[in-house]
Amino acid sequence: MPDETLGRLLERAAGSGKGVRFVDRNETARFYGYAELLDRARRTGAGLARLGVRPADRVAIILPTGPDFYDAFFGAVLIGAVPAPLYPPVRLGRLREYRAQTAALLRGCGARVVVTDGRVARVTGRAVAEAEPPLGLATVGDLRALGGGPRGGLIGVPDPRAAALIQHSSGTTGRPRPIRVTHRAVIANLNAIRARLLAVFPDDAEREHAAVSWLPLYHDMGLIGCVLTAMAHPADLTLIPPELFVARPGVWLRAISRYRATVSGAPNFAYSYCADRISDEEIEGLDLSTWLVALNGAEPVTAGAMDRFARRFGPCGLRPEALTPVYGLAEATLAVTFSDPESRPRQVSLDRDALAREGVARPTASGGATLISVGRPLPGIRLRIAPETGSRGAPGGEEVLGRVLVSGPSMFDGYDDDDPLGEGPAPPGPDGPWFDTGDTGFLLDGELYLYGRARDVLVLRGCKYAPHPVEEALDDVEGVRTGCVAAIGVPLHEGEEERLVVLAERARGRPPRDDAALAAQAVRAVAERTDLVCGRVLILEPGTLPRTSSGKIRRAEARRRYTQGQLSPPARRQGMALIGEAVGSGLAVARMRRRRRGPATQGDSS
Amino acid sequence: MTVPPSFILDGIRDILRGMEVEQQVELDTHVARDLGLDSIRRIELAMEVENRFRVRLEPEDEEGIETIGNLEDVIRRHLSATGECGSGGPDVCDA
Repeated sequence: MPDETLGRLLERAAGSGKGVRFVDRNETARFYGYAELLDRARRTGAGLARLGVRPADRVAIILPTGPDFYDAFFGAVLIGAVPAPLYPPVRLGRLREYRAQTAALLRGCGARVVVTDGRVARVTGRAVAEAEPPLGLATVGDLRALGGGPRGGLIGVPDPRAAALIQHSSGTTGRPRPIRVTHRAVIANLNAIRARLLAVFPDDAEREHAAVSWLPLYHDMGLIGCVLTAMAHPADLTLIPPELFVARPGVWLRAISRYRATVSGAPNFAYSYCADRISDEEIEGLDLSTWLVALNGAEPVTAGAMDRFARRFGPCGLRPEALTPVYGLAEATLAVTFSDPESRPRQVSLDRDALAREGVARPTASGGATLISVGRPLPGIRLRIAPETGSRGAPGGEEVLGRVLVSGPSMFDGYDDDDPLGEGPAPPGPDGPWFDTGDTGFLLDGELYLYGRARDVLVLRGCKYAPHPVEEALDDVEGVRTGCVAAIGVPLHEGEEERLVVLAERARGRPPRDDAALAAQAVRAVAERTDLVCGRVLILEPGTLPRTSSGKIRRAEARRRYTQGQLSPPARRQGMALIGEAVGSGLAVARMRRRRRGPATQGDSS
Repeated sequence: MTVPPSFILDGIRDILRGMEVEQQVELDTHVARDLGLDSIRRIELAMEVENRFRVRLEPEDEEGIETIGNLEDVIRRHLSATGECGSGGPDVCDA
């Protein structure tokens, strides 16, 4: 269907009898059929139009998970406007930073109006005022009232080549950028996702797909992977507010069990979080046998998390093959590769030295680094590895590490902000327009394995963060050499998810005996100034961190040296100068693990 | 309705103990700096507070919360307010 649009998806779903179930904190659910959601969206769309929103206008949406989100999102879509979902306020967090960030995002995407609810409006009001969207702020309730009674025929039938939505990604610098994707790109990605899932589990009368998700709706995996994929199918979708999952992760698995879900996904951290946090009592009565595809994406996939999850919930009928590592990025709308949902994720053991020093993937029998396949490109998506400049070709049988480049019909159309420093959407290459994902990896038997990334983004619990705010938090810590700090994301133990590690040089002339106190101060400064908790702080000899010729810290190189144990001070070579080390509040993860009642996590791969 | 002085603080301590926070918790304890709660753990704290005290923290309530004392104030304000957010049944404030 080449002229499919998001509006048409909802129209078609409306005839299916399927819909969306919203779970509240009492774990009761309210079901809205797609027909009802279409009707509400039409009214909201009419309200937006009456307010002055025109086709192609950007409509910022700041709403928690709930039917209001659908009203606003599809209300905008139905009048040919372009929804741009942004994240709602943080809890017990830094609202001042939230407002500044939100104002920047609103300006970046050129929002013409901000749609929210009364509760959120009271905090975002100032951010909105700062960004000055021409039509101000409106609540969904206002818009529905403004739109009047039910009506049809509102659909302006946007050109499939027109922008469908704006999603934000941290790009290669960690600074969120508005990514514009067209209807055609979104539909192409949805079709590719469905093709892969349906090829494995053919749709027959016996099997009705149903999905469950707690992912935030402003996140590509929540919006494209859950909301739109379920609607395109169409299938019933059960949505859980993300904060409810965080407080009570058992809600997720209970919903899968209760509503017989076949597909549900989450970032890697969620799998270990559930394995560690769900009690034996909660596990009783869970039936996860219907769960065919447990997608694991949005952050590096670890064997530790998947093994623990499979062991913990195997007795509930979870098939170990269900765990399905995937890879994607907002610039590709969402999905790029899926591993095979019918078999266990492939793993390879690779020679560490060859990986780190030669940049080649050389299989080894024992003691190697374990990498997990994120699978093959989805239909229509092309992928290639561009060897890093300077790396030599490898002899046959070995794969060369390089940058992961992606191309295909679901690639984005461009960034909505006109930043001259921004990278282009698809720099031309010898084989056509390829997008450099900033990730590094290699292909083995046609499957993609990721190994680090060239960009400096921190990926922690499925969220991306820029390293700068963390590094700047140490500016005021006396004893740290100003500007000589690198914030990197690395697992503290092999097979675990990445944690925030801060590498900071000691100020010159300061005695190493204070390093432990300095590290503890750094942990506090980061906690106070950012929303992040350090997994580890290392105080280094002055001059240890690698720099560019212009003196900028090279984070990716620092990360590589850190993981290889090669961070050495400049003059004396004495191995790692890991004098003062504070694991600090990073113990939270260890503590969480202990909270689980029942059998210990034997055989933990870490 | 009046609230006994240590009722709220004890409740918060109880919640934090349940969250395996091992530090001593006083009114001047800083939520981020002293307890090292990241954004996910703060969501958990907010949700637990709401469940235990049967209140609904509004985003603007949370605006100035940096210490346990600030949090205690907000809870006290909600509990003291006559009306729907008192000691009602579960989630009376959810509507």
